[in-house]
Amino acid sequence: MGFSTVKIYVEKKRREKEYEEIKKSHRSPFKGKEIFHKDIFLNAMVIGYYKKLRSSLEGTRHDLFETSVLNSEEEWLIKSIAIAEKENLEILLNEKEILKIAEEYANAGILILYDLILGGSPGDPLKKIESYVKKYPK
Amino acid sequence: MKIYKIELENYRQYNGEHTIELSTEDAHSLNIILGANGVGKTNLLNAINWCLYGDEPSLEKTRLELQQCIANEKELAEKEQVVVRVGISIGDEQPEYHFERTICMGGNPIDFEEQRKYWRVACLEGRNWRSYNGVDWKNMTQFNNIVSEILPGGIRSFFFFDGERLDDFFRKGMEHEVKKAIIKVCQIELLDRCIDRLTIKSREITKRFTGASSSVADINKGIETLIQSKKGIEQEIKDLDRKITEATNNKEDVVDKLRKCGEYNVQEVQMERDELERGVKGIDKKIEVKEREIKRHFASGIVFIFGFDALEKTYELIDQRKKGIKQPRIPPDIRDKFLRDLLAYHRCICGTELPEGSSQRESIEKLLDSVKFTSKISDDADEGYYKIANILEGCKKFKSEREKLEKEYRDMHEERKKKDQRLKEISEKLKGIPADEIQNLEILRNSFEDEIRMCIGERSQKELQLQNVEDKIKIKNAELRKEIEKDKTQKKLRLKLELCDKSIEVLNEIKEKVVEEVREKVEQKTKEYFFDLHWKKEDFKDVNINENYEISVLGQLGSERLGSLSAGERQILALSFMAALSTVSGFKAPVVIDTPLGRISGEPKEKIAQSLPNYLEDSQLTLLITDQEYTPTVRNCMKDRVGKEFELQYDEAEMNTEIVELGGDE
Repeated sequence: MGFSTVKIYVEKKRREKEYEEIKKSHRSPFKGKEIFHKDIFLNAMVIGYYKKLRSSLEGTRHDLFETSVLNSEEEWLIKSIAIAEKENLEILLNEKEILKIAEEYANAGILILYDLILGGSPGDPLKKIESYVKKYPK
Repeated sequence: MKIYKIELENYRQYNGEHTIELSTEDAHSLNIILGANGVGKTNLLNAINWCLYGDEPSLEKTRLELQQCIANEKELAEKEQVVVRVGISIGDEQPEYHFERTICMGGNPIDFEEQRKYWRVACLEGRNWRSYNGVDWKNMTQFNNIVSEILPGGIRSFFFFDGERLDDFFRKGMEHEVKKAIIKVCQIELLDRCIDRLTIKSREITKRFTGASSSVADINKGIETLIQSKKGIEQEIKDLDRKITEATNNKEDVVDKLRKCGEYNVQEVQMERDELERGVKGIDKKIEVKEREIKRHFASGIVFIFGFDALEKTYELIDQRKKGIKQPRIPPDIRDKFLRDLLAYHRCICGTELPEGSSQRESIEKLLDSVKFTSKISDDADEGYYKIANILEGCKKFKSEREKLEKEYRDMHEERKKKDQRLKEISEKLKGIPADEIQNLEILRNSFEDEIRMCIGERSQKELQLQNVEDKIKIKNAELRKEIEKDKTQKKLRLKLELCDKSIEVLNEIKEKVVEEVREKVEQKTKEYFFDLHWKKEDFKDVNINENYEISVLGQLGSERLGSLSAGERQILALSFMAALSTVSGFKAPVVIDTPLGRISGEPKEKIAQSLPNYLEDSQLTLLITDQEYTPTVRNCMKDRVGKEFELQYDEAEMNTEIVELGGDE
């Protein structure tokens, strides 16, 4: 069952800087896709999760997009991160908590993602993001 | 609107007076003007442009150069002064306007301003041309206004164009040309002017906030510097565009000379180079498409790779739960809906009545409470189990798919390298021919090519710089607004600024909406025409122009086909795009195409020709075409729509092209 339609939040200062700059940047590997903020958020979330970095949202929050724009695969990615975090399927009953976990991983991951795409070090951002993957599933 | 008549007098190859009366019948709205290379086909297109708009965009020469070379050479050599004249009669059901432009050449240097009085237009009133005797002709402003009502200069290139240059639209790095074309069709100059005026006004107002704080002045100063820098970059981009066009035309002139050179097999070598260059264009397109595919594949897959562990863990937990390991078995067999139904019907499936307050009913209500949460988990988990299994399967293929795409990409680069190498060899071969003229032409060609390459590269850099400066201006403006808000003393000024800002915002929104709507319409029409014209439409599924103005053609299975289109198919796509632009513009003007089949060789030429009778059926269409293009098969395909056929015959001794109307089916 899909999420009910609710807003996904990020810190206002992150939305104004990291999210907007990645969105506008010609270096973004997500350029040209329809729902742009969603892609950045999901990438930030999984990178945060991958690096086991999670941080609570501080200061003013700002909505980034609505859950209605997520497809079912993306919804299950978000749910899976919460399930893996809690190691329990009961979390499926708590949509609010699932999204909170996603927001917190994205909150930490966005800084890494920003650095990979717009940070000072040279190189193709796509390759730099890929270099984070330790091993591919077989 | 249709062109009824074109009159030429001493214009380039056309010595003396010449008239072409085109077919204007709706059922036979196709005119064919046949002519070998160099006899004056392109100059007929130039003459139309010159008469109506005062320039010849396909030549891109300066006006002074135009004046020097526009008259017939023989006339100019024999007479002290030559009057050059081009007249065009245009109308819907009958000729309604007669436009005429004349210029007197030779003798004393020409006063350009003086020439303006020779631009004039006459309107048909009853059966007579009003003000047609040179005494009371309308002035230039009126001339331009009337021409603009029929077809504004900004969009004429979608009605009068050269088929050979169309492929350039879809060259790598030329998305800005597609964007420019779509924006031109939008006709939003008025909106742009309003936005410019309001932006200036807004800047003026912000400068008046002097008392607020010193930072306002500092930010204002910073913005001013950025605006100047932006203007400078915009001008540099314009200059680069002009240089690219000039160098392209110059290179084409030089290459044309090589194509006509009969010595040392130069013609054959140049033909091989033409073919190779077409191949390079095709590969570049393929590379570009592959790059996009790689990015798309990456962007849609990498999130699941990073989240693979979580997905796998979830899958395991659901699997264990389904099998009853560790956690209690999910009771999907006792669904809350089923229990609710029993309560609603007041009867159990065993037939026991379940009246309100009965102990049996209470038992079921308790059971409902206990299962409703586990039931939700069960429903969710059931759905997720199969969904996640698919995602995990996809993740396992991600690496191999990515490697496959990367390999294809590398192979394309290899192929490109080989062609580049052969092109270099050809160039060396031409430079090694013991004939100064050929060597010099080749050196000149290479220098133009270098210039084009350099300018395109520089242009991309400038675009990035411009984007950067625009972003900085936005940030500075936001800072400035914050500072101004702190100043509570100048309320009136603040309100004015708010009004300006809001108006700019609204106008920009309108502009974006208009451009987006037009882009969608052009996309839709391009697709319609492409499917209408293509001989194997069943191979294709869709044609898209995305938000970045990148065009893509999808095959039946949804894969990108743009890179693998043949030269003929690309020409069909380009013609479809042009037809879409002219249709969406809303102007019902005649269409004139020079060399509609471009430089396509072999079979596709006839296939395109078979489609051309369906091209812009509601418009008067005039094709300036070579006899190699207009083969008997092609002619047969077009015969039902053809109204008139003309042939341009060049007399070298007289330096004159005669226009001969061909009759009947001989």
